Amino acid sequence: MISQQLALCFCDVLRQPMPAGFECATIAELPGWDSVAHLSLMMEIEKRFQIRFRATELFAITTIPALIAVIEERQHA
Amino acid sequence: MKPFRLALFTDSAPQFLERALLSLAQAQGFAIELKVWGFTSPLAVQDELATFQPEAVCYWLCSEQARTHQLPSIEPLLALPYHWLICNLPILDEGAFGNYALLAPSSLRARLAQWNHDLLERAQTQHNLHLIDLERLVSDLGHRQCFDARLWHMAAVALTPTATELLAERILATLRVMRGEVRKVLVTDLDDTFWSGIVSDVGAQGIHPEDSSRCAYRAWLKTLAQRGILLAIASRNEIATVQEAFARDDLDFSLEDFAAVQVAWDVPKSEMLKRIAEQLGVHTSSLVFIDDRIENRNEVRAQCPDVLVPELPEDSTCWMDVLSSLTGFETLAITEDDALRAQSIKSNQQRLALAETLSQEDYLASLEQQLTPEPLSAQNVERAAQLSQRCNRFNMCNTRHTAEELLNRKGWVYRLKDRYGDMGLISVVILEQNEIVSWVMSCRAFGRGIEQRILSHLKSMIPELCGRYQPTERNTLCANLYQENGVPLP
Repeated sequence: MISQQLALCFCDVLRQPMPAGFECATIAELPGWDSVAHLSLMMEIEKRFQIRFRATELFAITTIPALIAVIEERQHA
Repeated sequence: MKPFRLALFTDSAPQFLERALLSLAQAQGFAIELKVWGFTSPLAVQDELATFQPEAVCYWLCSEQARTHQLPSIEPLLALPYHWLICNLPILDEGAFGNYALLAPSSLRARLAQWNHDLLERAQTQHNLHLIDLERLVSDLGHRQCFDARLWHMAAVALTPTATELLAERILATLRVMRGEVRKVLVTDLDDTFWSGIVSDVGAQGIHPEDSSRCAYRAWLKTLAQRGILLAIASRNEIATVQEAFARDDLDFSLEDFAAVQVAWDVPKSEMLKRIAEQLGVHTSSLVFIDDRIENRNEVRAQCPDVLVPELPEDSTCWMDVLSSLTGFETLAITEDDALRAQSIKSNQQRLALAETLSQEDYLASLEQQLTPEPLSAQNVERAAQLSQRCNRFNMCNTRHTAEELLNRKGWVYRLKDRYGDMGLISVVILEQNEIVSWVMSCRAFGRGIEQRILSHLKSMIPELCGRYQPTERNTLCANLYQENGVPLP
């Protein structure tokens, strides 16, 4: 469920179709990604999942599984 | 149209604003060529800037930098020959002085406020400085929606993506005005928009002009009218019923406040808007349309895509939230002539009525027109520049000028009065030796023999007068003007 919502969020912000193997992708390898888009993505994820990343996490989270783990952790906190 | 060349300077990471500007400009169909210098002062790259030849330079400083750095003075920038769009600074407070912060000159709050005050003061007199009101944007959106300390400390990003998009919108609105894209007329619906209630159902005494949200809306219309925006009505009604409603003592408007009135049952709103534009001698792209009914808004959007149609919330109490953020009425200056212009367009209807009863010759004679030439000077450049930015139909070379630039040009401006009133400054001619290199005239004055009188005036001083004409989609009405009046092309 989180994975699907997250994929939609990436599609909207990066304006790209959903890539194959999204669930285990490295964020920086997704089509349309760059450092500016990265921050927009993180802000959008915060909004949609109603969570808040720590400042260091904004750049330290580099893979989709790691991102999903943080979202799950925050939602259950 | 060639892309607008904009140089952008920031003292923070510029990528968000760069991206927002490009993406918004593309969405609006406004071509832009953007060159960006992040963390750089324009003074440091003057040669590069000169090579780029920007039409405007946007300088966006961020308040966060003022915590640790002295704010730079804008004075040296204004000496450079560019049009500056400078953002004011949202006010931050480091919390070290409490309520005393504004009184303590060294506090962050006081320093930012002082810088804004100085900027405002300069913008009032400096023709090449245009203010971008970022402070107001932050105040509308709320501090927490605009700033995110994580973005600043981790990536030197000064505004959130949401606030950055709104800033881009404000900057683009100013660029569009510099290109002559100006909204001149607001067309309003009546029932459930201008007043609460449907007058044809409840009668003139049954409507509620006193409804608080409609009072606020009408106060907004009054302010627009005072600054020179023309008001018009497009309403599905019968004119007698509308007249009866406007006769009510508690309605703070009269029908005479409107430059054009379209009231009919069987005419689509888009058609009414086209008629209003024709009657007022403006293009439909000069119109803004306000209507509470979504089907009317959508019909106008479909039939007249260049009309600005704000999307209104169903709840009228929230309308002013939308309308007060509208960028459609952006302007570079307000001049005394704005009110005169509105008045003279309204009195055009009296002129048209007179024209219908007389021959062209008798009509012109009966107007008792007084055309007064004045050399282009510091006293009139503001209005002259504004006219050049607003005129599309009578703009011989599709040129736009700023007041600063006009101070260094030679030419004439013309003022016109007739028996119906003072139209103010209606034409600007710029000369280079014996050649007219730019000529704009308000469409209010066109077709009244004024263009011939202006050419006669110029010929009397310049023996071998010639004139430049550059055709555009909009200025075809003056295509043969020089030929017909014996003025050769250069």
